[in-house]
Amino acid sequence: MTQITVGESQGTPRSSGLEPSVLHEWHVLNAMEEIPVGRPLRTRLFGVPVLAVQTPDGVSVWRTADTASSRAGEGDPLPVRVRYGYVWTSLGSPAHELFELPECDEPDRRLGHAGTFAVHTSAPRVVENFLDMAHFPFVHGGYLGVEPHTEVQDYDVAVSADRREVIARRCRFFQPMASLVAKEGFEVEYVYRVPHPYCAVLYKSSALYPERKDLIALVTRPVDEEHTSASLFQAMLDDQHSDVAIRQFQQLIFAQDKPILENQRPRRLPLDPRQETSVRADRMSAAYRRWLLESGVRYGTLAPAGSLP
Amino acid sequence: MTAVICETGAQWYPICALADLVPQHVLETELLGVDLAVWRSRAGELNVWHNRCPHRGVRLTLGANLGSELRCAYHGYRFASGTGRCQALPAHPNRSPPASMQVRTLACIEHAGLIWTSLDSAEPPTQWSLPDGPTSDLYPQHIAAPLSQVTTALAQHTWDFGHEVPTDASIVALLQPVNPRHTVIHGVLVGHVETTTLQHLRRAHAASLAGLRRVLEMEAPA
Amino acid sequence: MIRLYDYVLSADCYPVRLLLDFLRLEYERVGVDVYPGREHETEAFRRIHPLRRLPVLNDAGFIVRNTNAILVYLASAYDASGHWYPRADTRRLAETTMWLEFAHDLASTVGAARCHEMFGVDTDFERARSQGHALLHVLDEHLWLAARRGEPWLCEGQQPSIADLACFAQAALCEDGGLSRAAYPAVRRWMDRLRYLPGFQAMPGILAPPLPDIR
Repeated sequence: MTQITVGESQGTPRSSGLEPSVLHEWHVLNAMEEIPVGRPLRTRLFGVPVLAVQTPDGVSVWRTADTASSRAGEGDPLPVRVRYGYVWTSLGSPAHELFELPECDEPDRRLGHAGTFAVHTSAPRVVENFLDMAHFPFVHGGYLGVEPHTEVQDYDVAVSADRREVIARRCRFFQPMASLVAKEGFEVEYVYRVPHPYCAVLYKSSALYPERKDLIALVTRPVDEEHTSASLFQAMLDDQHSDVAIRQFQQLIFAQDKPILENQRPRRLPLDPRQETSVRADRMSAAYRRWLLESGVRYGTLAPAGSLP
Repeated sequence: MTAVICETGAQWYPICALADLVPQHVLETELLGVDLAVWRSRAGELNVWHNRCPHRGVRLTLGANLGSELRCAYHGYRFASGTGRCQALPAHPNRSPPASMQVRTLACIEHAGLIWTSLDSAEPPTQWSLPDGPTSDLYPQHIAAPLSQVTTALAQHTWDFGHEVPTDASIVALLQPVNPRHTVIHGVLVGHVETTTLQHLRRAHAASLAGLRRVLEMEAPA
Repeated sequence: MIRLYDYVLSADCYPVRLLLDFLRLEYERVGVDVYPGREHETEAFRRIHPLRRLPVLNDAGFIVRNTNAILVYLASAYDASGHWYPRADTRRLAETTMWLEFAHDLASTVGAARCHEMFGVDTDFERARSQGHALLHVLDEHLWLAARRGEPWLCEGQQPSIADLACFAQAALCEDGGLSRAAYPAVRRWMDRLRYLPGFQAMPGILAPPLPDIR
């Protein structure tokens, strides 16, 4: 497998050269809400043009020759799943189903799509930012963190027995406005879960029900190695605020991260631990990078020289 | 009045004016494809750094010039003026930052009101080809064209200062190769000029080079 | 009571929020689900703005639409100092108007590029970007020359005006539309002067300055 170096042209999609761990996986296209009947979605997945169409019979996805002019039926059909309000597809043949989020079925939760945003960086960079707490007081000051409450306490990181997920537990952080229902600042507990190379889920203490957790998910699609389509959705325990208010709070937080993400260099995530200096608070980010490397995931990353695909 | 283009000689290039390094500010520039963050400490120390935080690669130009330290916008890491060494990790207030948490710094000097730097650790020039005398900085013209094209165009450029100019003053153009597609023409007026004349000259000089830029950007490859 | 129909990510709404904060005015924010809900395109919203745009201000029943008009109204009605909209000084008033119009030009180029990238709005993206760069060059040269004359803002004098706020919003968010500010160092310095003003509020996409006790 050829290594892609920084600066190499993104012109030719290399789906035929996509590593198996990425090829035979489900990847999100967009929210159903954004692919209404009569408005097909034309976009790219790993540089490959795809077309998604919703009809009264359901959703179809096609791999097409180019994004501009293709119509449904003019390319190869791709498998489809509709989960959590999103359309998912694959360029290969997944042997498993998409990861589970049982909380999304709980009847008292507000499940909603917050938005899909184009980010000019690699998908793993977007995921890694989602897993990080140390930036809360600086990037999300007044909301998810505030100076001088900057310390990141130790937390636990583990890879699941089947190696399909990385999980961080016992993550704690003081937040002045953890969510719209929080009346005052409190120490929030987080669980972070990476069940997919380009997706992450967080569970954070609910201000309304101390023994339960709100769920926020980031599902990303690599458009190409340095462009990502990032979608956010949430399953919240909130009986007070409108869908719009919840949605716009999520958008606010994400849009605060966006300039940071777009100003990271290299854009692809370095998997060699020597390339960027980590500290103890970065244990989840280090575990994510190691997990990508060991799972054979390369798209959107810079693998260490000599590493096997 | 003469207009002079100065060859900088090997390796040292102007990247901004000293007057541009104002308090609480970090200047963003690029030299030969390397992103740079340039700032001045409250004590007056000049810093030309690689524009990249050693932690997660965020550009330091998004950060804050706190006076004696530059603070990265992402996790608040603070790097000391001069050394570029990390002084504090807000995520771990009781730990010392690792030695590798250090920004890459470049040597720099001030001459003729401009800041000069080199990507290698070459010694700064001991002799300069600029005329001697008091200097006033002129508007730096950023052009989306390669150095060679800008050099040629400047050599052929007809300057129109549109105002009576003192005969003992000269305008010097100095080139900064930003990357293969971009160049900055820095300008310095050498000689004593009174304020109103300087204001007129600055306007005329900027307009003249803006014309040059428009011509070059129509010619340069997209 | 002032009510503002607003979208948290809108570059057109932000100058109004900025001025409201600088003037320390209390107001009610009505969040409109512009994206992805397209609430501004509904028939119900047409009653608030016939052209279905934001921002819209309702001051105890008096309705003002569009960024520049709202800025002029708020500054005229509530700014005792008179520097945000200098009605008493003919020359400065003309300059302010000129740069408010420039801000509108920025919105239809730089701002359009941003809307294309962030919200999928259909536009001639390459043209928006190249025209946006041409405007930013003009802005950079103007600000450089003004600063060398000892004037820190768009218009004559030592105080910012609403024109600074309107142009700032577009310039500070231009990178969302794929326009880099690296070639506009005078714009970057002017942006920092504005960010460091007491009472400044950032918005998502614009980095907040460090807290005052750290500076």
